[in-house]
Amino acid sequence: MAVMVQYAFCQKLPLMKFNLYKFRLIMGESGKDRHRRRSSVISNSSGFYAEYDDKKNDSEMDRIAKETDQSCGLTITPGSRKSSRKVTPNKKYDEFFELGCPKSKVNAHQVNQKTPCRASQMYEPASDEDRCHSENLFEDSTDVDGKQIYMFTTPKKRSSMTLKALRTPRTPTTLEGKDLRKHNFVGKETPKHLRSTVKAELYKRLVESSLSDFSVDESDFEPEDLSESSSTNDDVEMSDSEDNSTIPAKKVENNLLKTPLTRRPLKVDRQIEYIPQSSAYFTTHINKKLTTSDHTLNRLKNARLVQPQIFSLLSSMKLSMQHERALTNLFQQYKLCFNKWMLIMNEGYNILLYGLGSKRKLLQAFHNEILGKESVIIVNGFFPSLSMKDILEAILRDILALTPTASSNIHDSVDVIYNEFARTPEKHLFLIVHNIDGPILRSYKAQEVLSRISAIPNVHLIASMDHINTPLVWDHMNLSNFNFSCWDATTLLPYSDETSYENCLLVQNSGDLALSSMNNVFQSLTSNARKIFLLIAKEQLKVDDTNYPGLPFKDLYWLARESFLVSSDLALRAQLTEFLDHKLIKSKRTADGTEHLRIPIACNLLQQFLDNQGC
Amino acid sequence: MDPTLSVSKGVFVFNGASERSKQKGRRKSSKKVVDVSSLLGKEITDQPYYQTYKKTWQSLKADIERIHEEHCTKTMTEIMEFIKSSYENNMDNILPTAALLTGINQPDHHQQFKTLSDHIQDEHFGACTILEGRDCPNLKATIEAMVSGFIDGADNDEDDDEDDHNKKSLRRGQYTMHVLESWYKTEYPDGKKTLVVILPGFECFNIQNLQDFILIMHSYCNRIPLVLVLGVATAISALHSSLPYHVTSRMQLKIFQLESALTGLNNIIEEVLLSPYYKFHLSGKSFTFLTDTFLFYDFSIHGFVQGVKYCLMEHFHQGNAFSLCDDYFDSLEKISKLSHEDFEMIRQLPSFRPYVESFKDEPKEIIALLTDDEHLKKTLPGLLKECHIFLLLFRCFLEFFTVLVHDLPKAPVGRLRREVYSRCVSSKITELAEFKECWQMIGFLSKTEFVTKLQAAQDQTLKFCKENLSDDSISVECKEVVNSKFEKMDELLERVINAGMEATSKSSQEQTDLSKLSRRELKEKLLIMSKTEKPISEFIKSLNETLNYIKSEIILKHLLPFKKEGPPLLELFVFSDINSIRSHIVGAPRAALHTALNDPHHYLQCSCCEISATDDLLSTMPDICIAYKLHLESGRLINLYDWLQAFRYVVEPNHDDESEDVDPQIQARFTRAVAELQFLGYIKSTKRKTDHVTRLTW
Repeated sequence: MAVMVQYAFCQKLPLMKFNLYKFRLIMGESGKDRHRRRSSVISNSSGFYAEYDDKKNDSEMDRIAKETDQSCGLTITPGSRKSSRKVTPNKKYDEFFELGCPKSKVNAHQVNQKTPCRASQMYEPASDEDRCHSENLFEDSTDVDGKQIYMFTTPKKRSSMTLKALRTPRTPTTLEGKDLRKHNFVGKETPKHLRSTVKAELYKRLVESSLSDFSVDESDFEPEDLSESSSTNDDVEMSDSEDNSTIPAKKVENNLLKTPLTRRPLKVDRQIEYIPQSSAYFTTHINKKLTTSDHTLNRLKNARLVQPQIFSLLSSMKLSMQHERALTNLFQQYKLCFNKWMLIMNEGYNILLYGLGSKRKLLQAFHNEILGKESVIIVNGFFPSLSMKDILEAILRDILALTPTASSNIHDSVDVIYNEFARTPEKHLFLIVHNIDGPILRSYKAQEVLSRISAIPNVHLIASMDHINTPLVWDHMNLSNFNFSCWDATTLLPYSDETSYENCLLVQNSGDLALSSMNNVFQSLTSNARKIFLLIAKEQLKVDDTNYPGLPFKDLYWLARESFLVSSDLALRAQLTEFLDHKLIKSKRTADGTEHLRIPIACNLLQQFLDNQGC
Repeated sequence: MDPTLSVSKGVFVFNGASERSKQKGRRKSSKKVVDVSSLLGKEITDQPYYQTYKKTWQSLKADIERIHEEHCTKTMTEIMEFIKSSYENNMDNILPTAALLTGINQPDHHQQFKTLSDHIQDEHFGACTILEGRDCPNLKATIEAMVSGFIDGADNDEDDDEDDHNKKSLRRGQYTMHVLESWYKTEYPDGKKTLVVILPGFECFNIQNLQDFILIMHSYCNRIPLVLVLGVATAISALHSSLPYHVTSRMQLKIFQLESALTGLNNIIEEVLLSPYYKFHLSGKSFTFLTDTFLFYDFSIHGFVQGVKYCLMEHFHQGNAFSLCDDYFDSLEKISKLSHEDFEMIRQLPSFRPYVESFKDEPKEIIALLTDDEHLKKTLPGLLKECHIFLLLFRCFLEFFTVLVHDLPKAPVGRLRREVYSRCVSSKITELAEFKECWQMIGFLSKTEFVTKLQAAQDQTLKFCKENLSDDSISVECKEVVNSKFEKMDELLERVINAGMEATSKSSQEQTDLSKLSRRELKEKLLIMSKTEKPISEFIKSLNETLNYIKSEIILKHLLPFKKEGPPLLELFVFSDINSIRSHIVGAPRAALHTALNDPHHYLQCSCCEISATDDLLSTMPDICIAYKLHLESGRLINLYDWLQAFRYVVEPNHDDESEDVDPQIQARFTRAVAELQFLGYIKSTKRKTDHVTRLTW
């Protein structure tokens, strides 16, 4: 069954294999680490932190702790160990460890284990085995240590963000302390002598703890041997220079793939030992109390900018020369891969691009430069009202010149497409999908259809992905259909097109759209209905209260009756239904049972609307 | 204005005008598999390396498919037998059902079910239809899919022409069991053919739907001989738990088991990848990488084969020089086609340098090798031959070594040929602790055990040679080497057999009574005893001699890693660029994002953003990196205002800290950075507190 468990992970996280591996490490370590965590908790409550229980010092402590942390490259476990109980390392684990299971029988071994601490054993030997067995799957010089990505962080204090900002190197003119107090972000600074004692104490304890038997050094989960990947002769690059004219693809390969690898500095001495603190997750989430400040954006002069203003402001902004050049270089490098991509697609693989930055421009360049004469379908995955049907219809109608079937089952269309392409082996279709993880395409069904289409030999998919959890959408069936060749295409370009549809947090809705749509609906109303609507609007404008619940139905009825607009309760209801259908007004029942009607747009817009109507 | 950006649609079609897409000749062969035309121009497809690649891949593919087919033949014949006999003595009107336990590597099984269906149709004892879970959302659709599968499938077989759309006499909604029954009566009046319904992924079906479907099939099975084949990916208990008694009691369930994916993989590796027929080899790391991906992630043979294909592609596309990675006699012809650049490439291979340096005393030779293409052209055949012989001998003695170590307790070097192979290829095997352990254990074997083991190993090697080596010059040379080594070994073995077991103890000293000694004397005595060598029997001596011979003459000479120890030009035959396959087959999307956000310098290579620790923050970094690093400092919720202030503090070093209001441009930059982080999935908006966002990572 262990195999099955393991497999269940695999199928959920096929691309995030890294995650899986590290996850196992974390799971495996949890048992062993329990006492370590406990001891630090005890010391936190009763150790030397007690000397400085003044809350104001918290942030300062945090900062110092962090600094020491950085300078020593070790995690701090402060405080004297209260528990005198000498905890021996998990005995079962040790026995097992010494026994050492036969290398090839990892899975069988896991299955056979029927000891009480099964969970830990299931993972622990596995991780150990993995380490000697599959360290090949990861590589330290190019891969990011999973500990860094999936790290549990300790709960942050209220002002740590500010502190971080303050710690950035800057021109000496700014006075940090002055600034701090001005904005009231942190409390008074701790006196210098206190700080230095704390620092010294921390350091001392740190040294002690690293020498004691629970030191992090002893952890079995130290990073894999780093020297290995760099020293072996095995990975020697074959050669760099060869004929450019005859084999362009290979040249490309060299240019792109190998340079970044060598450029990257080895982070050997920067490895910070990581002790998983899975409980931190729960403490942050159990704790209902929020530690953030109560500042709101209304403190700003203009709390939210409108979209066009943002665009104009950003377009006037210039990057530094160096960065601009770097970005162009990066882009040019990726362009050199285009021929290689064609080759890969010719062999039946599909291309998946990932990495930070909009890859739209890159794919467009690919389309324009290489696929100019081919049949191409471009799908904007980030488009919020995309549908799978659109894509299938585009293929059926425009590429294959067939009439789409009326079947409700979307897979029938895929079958038709499959058969049609099987009949015309000369025909090729390139499917460029910007953001294969877009909101509509995120469903399993959409991915299933897409993967089935891209499994057709004449259909070639070139997709980009951005969301961090994208690989979770794919199960192994889809992945095997997609048959991706993944490429790191970090362009660092802004996602301007992709995010333009999203309702952004900080962008104010300009209301142009709302106003014009309201106008349109208004024009189509009968004159009586218009007058009723204007009545509501005027009443709403009279009140200048943000918590205005709306005009009570009864009042509206009397107002309308007085102006001879309706004669009965029911007639007014009929009119209101129309408004409600078009979302012109919102109806809400208050606690006392009266119905209140309100136009859900801002006052200034409403005023503008009334002005337009000439009232 | 960008033509591919619109607020009203998200799909844009560019109908191609290329010559290829203009040829609209629709092939009329719906059954025959036609290869898709190539995307590449002639300038690539005519290159020797591409042709060698194509040739190698085609034969690899054919071999793998053959193995794959053999792999499941046994189970398939059993199922066929079951289907054939199912209605011969079915008196009780019970629906015959075959449950096929396939294992979890579903992508691989599609082909196997297809093969099964083809077999059934070819042998003319029944018609067959495959139902996929995705086509059967409800009972009606399931029945329709099944009936249309039978009726249309039969039509297609007979007509085999393009306008079968027009031929359909029935609408979709009219496909019912009654129609099937009458169709069956007219089509097969003798009633001898069985109709087989295959459900490859039983787990993909809606349970209620499936139960009803089975009940309906059961009610018809006295009129139409229906047989159900269920592909079960998980375990048979899943079948029992999802189908209640009143359903299972109407099924005559028989369970079949496909061989596990692991055996399939081992077969493919041993019979195809390690076959001496293929000159292409994987380096230890890439080999382990591929097998580990299989073992630890997906168990998918399809995935493994695709990985091998990727390696093959990368290997050959390094250049024309790599077209020499072919059969020896074919590669001789290819040498003449090489250009100056290709020779340059050969000269730059890492193993070429030691080769040149070996001519220390002949500067002329060195110059000729490095500058004269013609000279190199003449030298190449010899070098290639050396490589071929090395690889072949490696393979032969791998057999020998595998038999020697595979059944040792706990098998430190591995039980399977592929494990031993990957170890031998990646590093000097004799330096590994596992090897020493093995060697020690072999040393502990009894005489008969040792002799039989060695003989078995020799027999296996000779058998391998006989089966795989032909009569060309290289094979003959290999055979000679193997035979000469074995002759010497036979001599040693002879001595082992004749050796006596008793120790030739020359120093049979007086046995002092240990109990009478003082503590100190005893200590000394023990020290002396430990220093004196233990008496060695003649058997042990000869055994050690044999082992030493094997170690020095076979393992250290022929089981060398595919690295600098190998012969020159070995790189032409060994693919070792593991970085490229690792990053392209597996990919690390999250890691790339992480790196770009934490250390943009890695990608930008600018002088302004260099940092020494990952959590350093510089004001020159891109906005999104600054916002990201600041957000790492926060807990579950982030106050947008404070975030903005911190952001402003970083990007605007000399700002006037008296003023509360923020420069609109900075606010715009911050807005974009936040929007992008939201797009990437690091944060999302929350309603718990005004102007706050939630972190989605922790």
